[in-house]
Parts: sequence; structure tokens; C-alpha cells
Amino acid sequence: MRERALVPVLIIACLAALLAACFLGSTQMSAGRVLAGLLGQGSAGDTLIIWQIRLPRALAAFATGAALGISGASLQGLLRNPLAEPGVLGVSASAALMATLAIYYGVTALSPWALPIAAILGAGAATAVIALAAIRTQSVVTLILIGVGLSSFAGALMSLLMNFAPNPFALSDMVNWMLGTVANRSFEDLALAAPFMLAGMALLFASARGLSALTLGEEAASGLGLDLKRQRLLTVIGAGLATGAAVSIAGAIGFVGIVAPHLVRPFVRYDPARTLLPSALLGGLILVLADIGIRLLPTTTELKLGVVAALIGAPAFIWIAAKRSLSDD
Amino acid sequence: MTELRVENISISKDGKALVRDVSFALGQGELVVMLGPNGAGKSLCLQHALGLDTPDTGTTRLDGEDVQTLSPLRRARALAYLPQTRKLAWPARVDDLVGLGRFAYGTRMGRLGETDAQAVQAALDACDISHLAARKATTLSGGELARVHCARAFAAETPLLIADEPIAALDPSHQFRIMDLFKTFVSKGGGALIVLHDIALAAKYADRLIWMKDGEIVADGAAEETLTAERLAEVYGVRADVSGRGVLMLGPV
Repeated sequence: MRERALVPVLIIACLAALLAACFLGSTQMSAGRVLAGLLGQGSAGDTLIIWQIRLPRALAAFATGAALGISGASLQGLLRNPLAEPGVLGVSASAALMATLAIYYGVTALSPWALPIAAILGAGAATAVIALAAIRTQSVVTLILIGVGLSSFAGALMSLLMNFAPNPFALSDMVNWMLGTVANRSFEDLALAAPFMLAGMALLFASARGLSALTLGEEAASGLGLDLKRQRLLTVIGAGLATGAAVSIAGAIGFVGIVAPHLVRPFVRYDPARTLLPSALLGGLILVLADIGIRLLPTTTELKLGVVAALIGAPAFIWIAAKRSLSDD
Repeated sequence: MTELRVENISISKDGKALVRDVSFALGQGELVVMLGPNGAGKSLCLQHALGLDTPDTGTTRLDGEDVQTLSPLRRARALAYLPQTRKLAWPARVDDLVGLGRFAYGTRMGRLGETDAQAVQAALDACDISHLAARKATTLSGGELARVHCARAFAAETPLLIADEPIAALDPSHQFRIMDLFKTFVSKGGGALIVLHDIALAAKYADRLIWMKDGEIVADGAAEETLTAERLAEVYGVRADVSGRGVLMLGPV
């Protein structure tokens, strides 16, 4: 019963959070003005604030969180470990690195598609490395360490780029990518990432059933009739597309993909397949709420979404890891 | 009648021959036990017999079809497999785990159709774990968990079954219980190939023994014919008293 209520409750919460995000901002607006602006019946200024600033920003946070949530849930199902996540495995950092490179070398000036494609290539490459390593080693600790290595390496290259940043504007741009933010995102940014994100999510949903079989282990899952190679390929491509698209919107935001599935799992009786949809919704919800929090905090410089996500997520990661080590290898 | 026929399989890794020219068959209505010391190539043989890996030479046919070209789902509907490693990734519920046995029929975890639900219930009953159905697998004892895995394999309702050391790390009474489950499966027309390390248990239950050593099959036949003191010395390097199906281990050669 709890399970049946989970998805509807999450959908309502997401809609409520998105609506709440429209009410908040530097310009104080009454509820009536916000609703009128949403429906396009308010003043031109109100409509502009809602449709050009607040709604795209909230939707960007939601889409990013949803993509990271479902990618995390899928990778955890494939690698059979609750600590696998795009951020931890270095997938987000690699995507952010490629995106920064694309900006730095002016590739993004050639075509607006260059940014999401670069981010997706980075995400795909890192996910492929992890998946290849997963075939060779049974130890998930090794995998996580490889991910940490990838993440550090991408971070180091990023620092190198920052070192050579031609001017303070380029530098601040890169910092934004590293820290992750959804400030000043437009519907155009979302539209560029959307096809890749939706394709990735579709692949992940289509291949979800095999993740359930992997509960029994790779060998037993093969025995059940799962085509393991195909499963790996679909999950890696799906997670790469979704994560890359998310990074192309918001930069590298970590830990959402670990927290959301972890909270959802007990509600779906630990079935990796059924974790996907609620993880996406909860991931989106977490980032929308975190972004609302950022805008409410009276700080002179706005906090970055990625920083807040890490402040919440990193302790959760440590907690999950520590609890696991008590009962496991 | 479904039959698994392994023909002249050879497997080598890094230039070392691990399995050499192995041939055997498994049909319905027989309980076959594969014996051999650690590293004899038993598990490797089984994995290739299932088509999970490609051997260097040789073929495995399931009802005349090459398992390498057979679709994994079709293979899984004819042959269930219990591998040696049975570590669970998540603390799933017993009935959900047993339900995974229906994977080859397109069933989603926790979403059983009517025939699926009947098969799962029959498997739970057969393994005497119906009362554990709603429990999390992580709360079970080793013996209970072993029965859950057996139930998972039975739920697939396949004519054939391969189990790799299904009773390792179980106490004697649970070992008998698990072996009895396989015996019942065979008496109902199934065919089972089981890897064991307990020679006395193998002799008690097996219709046929397959003896492996250094990647080769050294004997394949009924316990009365192939279970001898000389064979135990040759394959395992142990001294033993053998009388009929009874075995008493005395020590190393």
C-alpha cells in the first residue's frame, strides 16, 4: 500500500515545489501576481519574471535532479551497490570537464548543441570505463576507487584549465561548472538538453527489468536468461546520456543520485527496477527544494546548488557507506 | 524429453588448458552428481555448458540446439542454474526473490501473473518456506537462504537444473533437506546436475557420478561402478574404505 502511494505523493510534492519556486525571488510578488504571471495574464514584467527566470530555473533544477536520480538508481542496480552514483564514479566530473573544454576552446560558439554533446561524451566515456572495470573486477570497492580516481583526474584537469584561464570571466564561468548551478537557465538551455535526457531515461526504463535479476548476482542473472552484455550497454549509454544532459544544464552536482534511491528503496521492496521512477521524482524534488533554500538564504553571494547538494549529500554518502561496511565486505 | 549434451568442450586461459575434451549428457529423470577436487574445472564446465561463455572448441546442445545461438530467455526456460556465488545485492523479500525464477517468462519482479504466482507458491511449498515468504532475505539463516535459492530455481519450472555446490557451508541436516529437494525434483521428471564435495552424500543420492580431475572427465557412471577406493585415491588423493555406496575416509594417501 505504501508502495502504491509513493509515486503519486512524489508527483504532487514535485508540482507543489515547482509552484513554490515560482513564488520566490528577489522581486516580492503576491500570490495573485504570480498566478496571473504563470497564466500570462499579469503585467509584462511579471510574466517575464515567471516565464523567463523563475520557472526555467526551477525546471532546470528538477530535470537535473531527475536525471541524476534515475542514473544513480540504474548504476546502483547494474553495479549492485548503493554507493554507485554519477558523482562518486566521476561521471559528472568528466562531463563537466568536457563541457568546460568545449566552452574554453570555443566549440560552443560553432553550435549550441556542442555543449550537451560534449558533456554527454564526457559522461559516456567515464561510464564506459567504470562498466569495463566492472567486468574485470567483482570488488565494488575497486570500482568506487576507480571512480574516485576518475573524479580526481577530471578535477585536476579542470584546475589546470582554471590555471590557464585567460580572464576572470572565463574563470568564474568554469567555477560555475565545477560547483554546479541552475541560476540564469533558460528554456533554450533546457530544450538543448531535453532530447538527450529523455532518450537516456527511456533507455534506462526500457532495460529496468534486468536490474531486478541482477539482485541475485551476475552469474545467476545470466542463468535466469538476462543478456548481461546488452544490459551493461543499455544502462551505461542511458546513464551517460541522462547524466551528460544534466551536467550540460547545471554543471557537476553530486550525491543526488545516491540520496534519492537510498530513500526510495525500502518503499519498493528493494527492487532496483521499481526504484527508477521514484528516484527520478525524488531527485528532482530534492534539487528544486535545495534551490529554493539557496534563494531564501540571506547570503550576499548566492550559494551554488552543487555546493548545497554536496553539503547534504556527502554526509549521507558517508553514513550509507559506514552502515554498509558493518554488514558487508 | 529435454536433453543437455556437452560435446568435446575444451577451455584454456592464458595458454593453460583448464578443461580438456569434456563430454557428458544430462537428461530428465536422473540426478547426476559431478565430483572432483578444487580447480578440476567443474564450475567452468557448467558455465560453458550453459552458454554463459564460449569454449575454445566443442559445442553444447540443448534439445539439439547450440546454446551459443539459443536466446538466453529460451535457454533459461529449459535449464535453471544455481551458481556457486549466491550473494544478494539487496535485502529483498523471499517471495520476490523466488519470483525472479520467472524472469525468463517476461515477469517483472514483484508483479506476478497468475501462472507465475502458482509456480512461485508451488516452489515455496516444495521447499517448505511458505511461512518465510514476506521475510527479508537478510534475516534468514544460511539453511533457509539455501532453500530460497532452490525455490527460485524450481519456480522456473524447467525440465533441467544445474546447481554448483548448493549445500556448501550447510549443517548435515540441511544438506539432507536440500538434497531431498533435488531428489523430489528428479522424481517428478526433472533432470539435475549437481556439483558436490561430499562424496558420501553424492553416493547416497546420485543416479550417476561424473568424476573430474585436472580438467578431464576420468569416469562417468553409476556409483556402484565408479565409486572405488582406487578412484578416490586417483582423483582426490585420499585413502578410503568403500563398500557399495558407503564411504569411510581414512586420510591422505
